[in-house]
Amino acid sequence: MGDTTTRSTLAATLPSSVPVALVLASASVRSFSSSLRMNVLRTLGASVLVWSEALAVIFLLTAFDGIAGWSTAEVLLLLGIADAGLGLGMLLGEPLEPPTFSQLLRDGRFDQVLTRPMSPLLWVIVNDVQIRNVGRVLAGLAIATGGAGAAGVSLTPAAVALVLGAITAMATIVVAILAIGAAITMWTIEGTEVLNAFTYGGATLSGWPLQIYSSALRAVFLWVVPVGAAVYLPTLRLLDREGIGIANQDLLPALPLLVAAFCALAVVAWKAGLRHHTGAGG
Amino acid sequence: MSALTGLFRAGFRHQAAFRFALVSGLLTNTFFGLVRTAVFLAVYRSRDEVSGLELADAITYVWVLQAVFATVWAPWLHEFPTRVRSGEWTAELTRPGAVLPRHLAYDLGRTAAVLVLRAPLPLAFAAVVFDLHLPTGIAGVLALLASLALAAFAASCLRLLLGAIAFWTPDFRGVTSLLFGPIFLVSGFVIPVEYFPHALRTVATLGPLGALIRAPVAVATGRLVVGSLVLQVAWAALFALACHLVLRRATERMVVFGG
Repeated sequence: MGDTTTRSTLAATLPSSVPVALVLASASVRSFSSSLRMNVLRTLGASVLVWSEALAVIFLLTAFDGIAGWSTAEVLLLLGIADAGLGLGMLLGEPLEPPTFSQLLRDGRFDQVLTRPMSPLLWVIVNDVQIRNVGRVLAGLAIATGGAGAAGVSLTPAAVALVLGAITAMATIVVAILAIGAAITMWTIEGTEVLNAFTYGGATLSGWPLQIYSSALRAVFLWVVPVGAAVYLPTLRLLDREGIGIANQDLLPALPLLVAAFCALAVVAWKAGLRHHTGAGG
Repeated sequence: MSALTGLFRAGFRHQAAFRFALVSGLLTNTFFGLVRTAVFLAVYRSRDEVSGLELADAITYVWVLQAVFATVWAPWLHEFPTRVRSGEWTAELTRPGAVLPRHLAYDLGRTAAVLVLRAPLPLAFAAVVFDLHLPTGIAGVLALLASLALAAFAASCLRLLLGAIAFWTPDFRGVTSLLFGPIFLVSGFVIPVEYFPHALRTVATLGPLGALIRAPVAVATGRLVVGSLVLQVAWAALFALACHLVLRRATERMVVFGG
């Protein structure tokens, strides 16, 4: 915005300013293409990170010949869904991450947001969409597709709907976790890394079959923060596998309820945070 | 020398000041440790030894990794390149003494704080709950401490080299993000390098990234202790040399526009 004003003022007052204007114009083009290049690189980088993880899973499960009766391809299906869901959630919710949101509070910019006739949560989300997360989504989709193919899942509309549904459920929970984290940040001002245990940690955890975990860990990620349910239950249906305990295919219809309940919790937390918020400077 | 120890201590105090972050970090490390432990407990259920590692070695790997994770992937990773890009870093050139030792002294002070504050608790927790393969004699403990210190030094140098990318391109975040995945994998931060296919395993073991996590884990579990330490010393020296050359080249070509 500032650039445009400077440029138009120069053009109006100095007839000989055309070369200057050209320099400024080319600088602004360069700055755009440079940020474009950075976004492309960071998108690729996010993708490479997921592929590195998948490669590690392949190496490990080749050395051990699977895990808990699951083949490498089946585990890759879990990993792909978990990472695509995490990427989609981060694409929307990354500005709520503790360090970013904490900075927003401390700069006083959030106080300005509250004066606008718009949902503050929505403003924070759309104000800074981190496009690089698309790299994670695409890598996750590719790995899930490859895993499903290698595991012998046939490409029916129902299978595609299950995968997309699982990814959507995972992404929704990730955004809800981040909203709860942002609410906590309204109290603590300083952001907390613990949220990583639920977002990135939740994706790592649900990238493996749930039966490898202790019953306590399973219960938390099935009933409380249902990232485990979001990835595991649809995958059980896709592979037509037995689950463990109550976490089996029969629980799949309850998944939307679990996600909705967690979202309701996030909304309550966010509203409580807003009520508590008193400003932190600016 | 006293200036350098002063910087080291200042760096230590700087990082030790974040109490809240410390507690969050400890909880996060412990959570990731539990998830990774579950993976190894599951794969070793019907096996005794794979690629030269037993279950206790794998679990020890998990918790040593959680203990040192933040010393390599430090929360201040992007501070140096950000200061280079903004031009703030040029103030370093006006200060007395060589730039590199000052940079490393401060960074190592911060790294030492992270190591001292974040390593013992998760390791102690894991040692109580799981069957770890840790040294019991004085010599073994001293070797592990030396290996951890060498790993911290190598990590500090690696961060400087990654950060120095900002001298060449303002897109440093883009370039480093492309490197993180391969560095993460090859250094053994996702799974132990012992499970890699043969050629990659050799590169990961003998290459510079092996100094970060593979060597401390090998020393902790008492495998190839001397060899791992020798490799770490050699790579630490080469890392320092690379930092010196890169920083010299960078400051020679740097043009300051303002700031």
